[in-house]
Amino acid sequence: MHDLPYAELHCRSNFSFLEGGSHPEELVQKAHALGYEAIAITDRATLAGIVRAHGAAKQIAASLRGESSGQAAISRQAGIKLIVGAHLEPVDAMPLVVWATNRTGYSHLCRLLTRGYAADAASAGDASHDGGANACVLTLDDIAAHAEGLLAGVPLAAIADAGMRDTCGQNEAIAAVAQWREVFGERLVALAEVALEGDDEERLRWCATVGRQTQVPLVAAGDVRYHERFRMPLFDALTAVRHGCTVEEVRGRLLSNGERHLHGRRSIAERFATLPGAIEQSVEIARKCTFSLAELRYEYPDATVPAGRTPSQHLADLAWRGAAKRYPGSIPERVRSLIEHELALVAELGYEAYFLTVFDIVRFARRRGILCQGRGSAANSAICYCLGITSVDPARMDVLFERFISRERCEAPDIDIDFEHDRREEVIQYVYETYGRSRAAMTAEVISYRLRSAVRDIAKVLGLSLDRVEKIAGVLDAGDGVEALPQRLAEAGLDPADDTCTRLITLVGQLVGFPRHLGQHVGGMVMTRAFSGGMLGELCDLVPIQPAAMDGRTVIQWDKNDLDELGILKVDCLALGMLTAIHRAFDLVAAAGGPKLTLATVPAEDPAVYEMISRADTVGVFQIESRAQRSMLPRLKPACFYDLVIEVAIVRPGPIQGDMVHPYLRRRSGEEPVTFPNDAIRAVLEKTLGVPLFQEQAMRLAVVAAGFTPGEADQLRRAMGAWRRPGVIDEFHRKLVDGMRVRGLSQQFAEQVFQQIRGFGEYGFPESHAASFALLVYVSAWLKRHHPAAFTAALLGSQPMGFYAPAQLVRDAKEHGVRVLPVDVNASGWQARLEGDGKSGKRKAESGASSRAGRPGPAVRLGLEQVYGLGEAAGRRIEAARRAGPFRLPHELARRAQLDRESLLHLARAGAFESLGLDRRRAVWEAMRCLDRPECQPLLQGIQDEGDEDEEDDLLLPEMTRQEEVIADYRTAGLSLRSHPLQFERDALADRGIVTASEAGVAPEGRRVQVAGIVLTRQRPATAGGILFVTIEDETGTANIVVQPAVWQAADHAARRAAVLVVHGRIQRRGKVVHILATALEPLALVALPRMSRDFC
Amino acid sequence: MSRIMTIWLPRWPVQRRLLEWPELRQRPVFVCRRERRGVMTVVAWAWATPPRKAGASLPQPGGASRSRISLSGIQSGMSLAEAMAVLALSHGSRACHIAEVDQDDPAADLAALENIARSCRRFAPIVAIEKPLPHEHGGPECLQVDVTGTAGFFGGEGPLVRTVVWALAARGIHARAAIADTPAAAWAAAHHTDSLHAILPAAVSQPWQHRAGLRKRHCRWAVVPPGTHRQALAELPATALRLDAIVAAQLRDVGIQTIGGVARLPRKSLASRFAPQLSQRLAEFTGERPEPLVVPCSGELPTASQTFDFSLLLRDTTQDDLMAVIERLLHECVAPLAAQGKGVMSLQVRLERSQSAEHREACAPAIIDIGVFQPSSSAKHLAELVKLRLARMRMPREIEGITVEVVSVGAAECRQRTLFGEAAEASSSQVGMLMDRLSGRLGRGAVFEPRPMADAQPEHAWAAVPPAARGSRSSLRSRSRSKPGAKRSQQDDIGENSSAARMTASMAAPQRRPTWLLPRPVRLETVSVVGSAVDQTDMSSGPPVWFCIGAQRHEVVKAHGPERIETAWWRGPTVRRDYYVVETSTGARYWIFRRLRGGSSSGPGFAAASRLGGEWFLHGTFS
Repeated sequence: MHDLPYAELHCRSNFSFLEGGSHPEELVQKAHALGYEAIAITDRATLAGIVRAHGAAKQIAASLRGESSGQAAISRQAGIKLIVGAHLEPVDAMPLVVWATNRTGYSHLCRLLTRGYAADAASAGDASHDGGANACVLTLDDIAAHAEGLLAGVPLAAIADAGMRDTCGQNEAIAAVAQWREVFGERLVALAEVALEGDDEERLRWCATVGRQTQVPLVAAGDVRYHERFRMPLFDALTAVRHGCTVEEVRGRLLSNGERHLHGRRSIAERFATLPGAIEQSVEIARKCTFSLAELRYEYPDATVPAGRTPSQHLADLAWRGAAKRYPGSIPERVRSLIEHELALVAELGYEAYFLTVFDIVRFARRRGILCQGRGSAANSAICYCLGITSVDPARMDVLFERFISRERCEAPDIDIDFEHDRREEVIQYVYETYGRSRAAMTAEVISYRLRSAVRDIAKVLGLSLDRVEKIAGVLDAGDGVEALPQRLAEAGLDPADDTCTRLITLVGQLVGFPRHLGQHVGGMVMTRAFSGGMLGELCDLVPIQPAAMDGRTVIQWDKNDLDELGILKVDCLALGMLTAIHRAFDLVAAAGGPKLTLATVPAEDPAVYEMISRADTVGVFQIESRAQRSMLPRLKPACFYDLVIEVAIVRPGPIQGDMVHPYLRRRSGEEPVTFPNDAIRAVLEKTLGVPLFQEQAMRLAVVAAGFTPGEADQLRRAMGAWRRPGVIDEFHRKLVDGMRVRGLSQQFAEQVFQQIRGFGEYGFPESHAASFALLVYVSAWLKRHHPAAFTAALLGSQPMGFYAPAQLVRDAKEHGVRVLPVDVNASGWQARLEGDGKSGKRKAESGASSRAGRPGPAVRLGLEQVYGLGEAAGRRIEAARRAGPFRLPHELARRAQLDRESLLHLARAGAFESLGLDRRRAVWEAMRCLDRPECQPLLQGIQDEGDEDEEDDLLLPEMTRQEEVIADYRTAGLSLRSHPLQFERDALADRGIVTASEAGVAPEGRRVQVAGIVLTRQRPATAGGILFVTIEDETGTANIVVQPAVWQAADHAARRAAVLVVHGRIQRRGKVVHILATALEPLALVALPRMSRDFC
Repeated sequence: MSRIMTIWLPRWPVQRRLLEWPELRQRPVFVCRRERRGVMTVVAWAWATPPRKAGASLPQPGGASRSRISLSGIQSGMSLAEAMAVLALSHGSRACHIAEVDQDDPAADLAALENIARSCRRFAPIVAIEKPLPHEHGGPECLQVDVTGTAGFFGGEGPLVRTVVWALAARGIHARAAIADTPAAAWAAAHHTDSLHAILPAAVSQPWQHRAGLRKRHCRWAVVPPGTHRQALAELPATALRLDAIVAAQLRDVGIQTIGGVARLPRKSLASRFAPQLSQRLAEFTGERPEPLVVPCSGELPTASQTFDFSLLLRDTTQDDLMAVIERLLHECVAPLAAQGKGVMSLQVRLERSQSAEHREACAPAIIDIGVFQPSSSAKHLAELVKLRLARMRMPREIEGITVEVVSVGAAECRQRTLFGEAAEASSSQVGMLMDRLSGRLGRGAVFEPRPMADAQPEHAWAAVPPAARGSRSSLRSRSRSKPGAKRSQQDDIGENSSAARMTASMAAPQRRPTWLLPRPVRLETVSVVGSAVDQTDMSSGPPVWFCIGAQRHEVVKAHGPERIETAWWRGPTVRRDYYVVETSTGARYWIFRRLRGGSSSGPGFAAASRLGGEWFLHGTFS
């Protein structure tokens, strides 16, 4: 009875959501540690966890190779083999475990699962489905149709548990096995599984009988649910989550012990001692399964290539043609050589089809007039620039193609494209149409348990009352880790040392990071070959596809990292609100008689724009409107496009953590000399004054200063990334520092560079990406400077977006002299628009200062979308109905636009009838009258159109005070054009010693002040060590508050959530930037305002 | 001209609980309702005696004033979590720890309110309970008393309201009361007695108030002089008309805030613009439309009583005589119910005591409450239960009458009667009767039935359940209040369902466990195990070779197992055992287990029962 070779064939990971208690990686590693020959990951109807298991197995193999090359003494087996399989529960037959023996079998398995999910979506229709979690519905026939290349095992325990172990049950079990035997023939086995339930011997005997009678060989298996015994409580808790009740309530359905873990081989041998051959059989099966995920070959989508040309030639044609268009004179020599270099590399790696595919998508968007722009590392490519995918000119920028595609890293290039927010769906549907649903799908995103969701689920199943659960979830901050939990529990009024809490903390700690369900990646699309001779080539041969929660979308079962691991290409079609706003602003400018602008025709390098940016007057401008950016702008004083690129990149966690911001600022202001250790480094860092600010620079530095190859440099960047693995960093550290020392650089410099590179990780911007964004920064700033009204209207029409709510955008516009007109049923469209001064504005467009010079520019008319509660359809109907003439009475509006009572009341409450001479209350009064009157019903319209007014002219409704009006404005539209709510409280506030924001702004350093204001934003940047940045606003302006974690903790619940806040603090001045360092926070209940802050924490 | 007094018992659901369990006065009490999706909303809440220095612990300046704001910030309809947050804010998280959270029980609230109503009949014959609004959040909290012409007996309306409030206060009930011309006006006035003082100084303020040194804002009563309520109450908020939230919001939208404001609106437009409730309530307020008082009709359920012409001295009366009267009364009550196919679920027998002068204070009747497990229409059976109770109770000296009142009824099981009386009742009803008798004799808390529970740990695999828990006997259960520690006692639906599933599963292998377990597992001191080398990883060791129970040595000839149990981590230390069925050389079969070593991997919070483990226990024998 010794350690027989063994392979575990029935093993569910946590990707069988709520039916497994360990990560696939843990299972693989543990199985390896126990010396298993192979392990099959057989999740329930999904292959979502397979790639991770594959990665773990690969890593084990790699480390073994490393070991064996270094020290031959350690002679373990060659890693562990991963078998791809699935646990299936068909609707009309007994459960089944299947394993893929070869590529054909794998492909059948993918198709089978795809079919199951599609069948569920079809049968459920759209009725009973309330979310993405759909099931895989399979029948015996489905499985039979896809049986080729698969091995199957019937888990007999599932039958035995159902109380079928008497003779009659035995016959049924025999029938069930026989049924599967008809499908799989010789490829069927029966899984004998026992778990110390007291009658193991009888069970095994029973299994043996069934096996003998059906002539199906018996195989030892474990029905494993977690890798180690200690996960049993977690698994029990997950079972309770699955049943939606507490552990106590579900205790009858729990497994009675913790035996479903991976066992040592000796104890397995003991357990199956009475079933000779069963263990050997498991190894036998494992050896038959030769398929490995490494065999997967991604089939690139076919591009539309003209007859007689190869894709490679076609791409070259397009690139050169594009280059000729981009550089009308002659193509610069540098660019020419870049293009040649890139084309050669692309051809070598066979990525032409990918480029052509992306080009096709971009071309479609252009044709439809959808603004789009590539971002990210793709902007490092001259080809992408020539194809129009990106807009960063390689002639002006120093591009690093290796950041995009490198030979060393056999990894797919990654092109991200931003589309207008509300039109991206068109692009996605185009991709589906062009490539077909069997060949294109969205990338999945594995939604994992985070602290809050884990606490919710675990606390519920531990029997905490729901309000307690909500309470705990409520006190959790988004940035909290598991280690913060005890403190949070105490805050929620629980004793962290109490038994239940200890259990909660332990289980939550284990659960965080578990996959919860498969979501849909924001924009990643995977496409595969459009047509192929053989069957292999459709996407569902590669990976199962399932319908997404969103109509008309399908999702593959793998996420972005899985695709990277397997080298599969995807295109990220992202949505960017600013592109929508810019497009809208262009349209508004053109409609008002201004020039017809495009991204490319906006006048470049306008000093007036830079002047405005340097004043930090950037509310609404893309990227640089945040508080951190705005406090940087006056120090940086951008004066040219490249400064914007730096500005975008510098206020990032990477540069901040790598301590690059201050050296750069000092050098820029001339306080510190700019020096370079040698010329090679000068070439890399000169444009950023010797401070590496971009990922490319960090990588190049590794190349020129430490002798890395470009591919190694990229590995370095990845190693420092979010997925830090301790060993890898040290290896690079040594290599980097040694490399620099060899090249004569100082240890100190080397360490500094290492720290900087480390700081980048995944949080820094590549220069190419910053440049793409800087372009949008410039365009939006230009619009703000020269067409403030159109810009404001466009921003209002693209909400929610950016850092500021409509109230602040409107306020900022008014400060720039833009007239803003209230919502009115007789003037407003659904979205904000420009009004008045239409024709005359045309000529003044270029003299951007028009508004400030006192001449009225066009005014912004707020749109009906500002009215809370009004639906878009109703708003559009009002717009359409008004074409027949203005409305005179609310009920006339209701009739003509077919509004229901609620919409009418929402309009009335928002004061949208003022042009009819009806104040808010009178309008509500009138609107209420319409409710049940015949003229509101379409059938009877016209009967009592006019006259027949009640004798109500003497009605006197109490007039609203100005304060009431303002508060009603905020309540119904989120902003007021009249006044600021705090103005009315000013006297009372002054009595309490509270000063205005503008007074605080001029107070001397260190002065103690109190300010009060509406909370606009709360932000907790990851880099700030828990410091919270709060912006509050009163009638005189905004104040920037810095809240230390201790102060925030001391502040009570109401203050943390208050709409209006009183801040006690001290003035802190840094240059022109004034902060108030809070010492205490207090809610202000004087003003009954809704909470309206935008929180980024 | 009628005069109506409204008595408002604010936060009645909480007050009722405080009356029943005065110890709760020290703690914040929340009465909550479970809404859909399991969210708990506060129906009513109170903290009768909050700690004095509530504001002292607050770090902020102005904390004291804030705590007052915050506490009044808890409103009915709020979610419990939100309310707790407010409470924690004003009184610290300890307040949340000690808070008592109870599920609402409208039936019990109403029943208790009816009792108050009955006791208020001493002020006037017609005492009604307010009709709840259809969408209102809580149950009724007001009594409406028609005091037309009766105030004179109490020295006028002012003294009358005062007496009512003080009489209730003497019983520990906080009440506010007001008298006005219409029920609606009285309702409005009772809810705003504080602010009425400012409005009606001359009319209402009475000399005794100044004597008592009452501050105005604590004034708990008001009298609106006849014919003046339209003007006097005009400044009260419009919500004092008792309006739905929707109507109130509509009024707010057009800026109408007071009753007077509503009254000034054109009547015609009220109907066309607002829900009909508004004009109806306004008409009821002014008196244009009568608002009938709904007197709780106690006549719905049968009552029977007999009054004796002379006080009956009980020591002169045999119990049989007494029982003869009671049985007759019972029969009177049961007969009309039986005709409707109903049976009695619970009833009350009151032995009304004499109100002789010297015993004035001890005039409360002696009460026997009877509840049965199945609706019963047998007067004989009920009489038997009464008799059992009668035998155990302390009897008053003399009584003036006997009343039998049916408190609740249920559908009686219909069955064909046999020709010869009730002798051949079906066995199920006999089980019910047996239980009734047993609990009549032993007390209700002493009768249980065993029920298999789904649990892997054998001692938890069955439970002694009160037999009443079988049906929907909310009226009974509401009396046995769950103690604070056992808040979650009534959520076991799922557990019960799955217990059925588990039952069938364990039926499949009946031989594996003995029917009777020892009350506690007995430690086996001497056990010999073959090859005692314990597998470190899997903790198993195999069955014993022999073991001793007391001095008796048992040789194991056959062992079956192990059946491993690892469970119960959620209620305490993880229970980890290997069970074996062992057959000894004498042919006896025992169920023994070995406590397993706590796996080091258990992690904090999942400690095994013993660090050592390895001991053997006897847990049952097979007979």
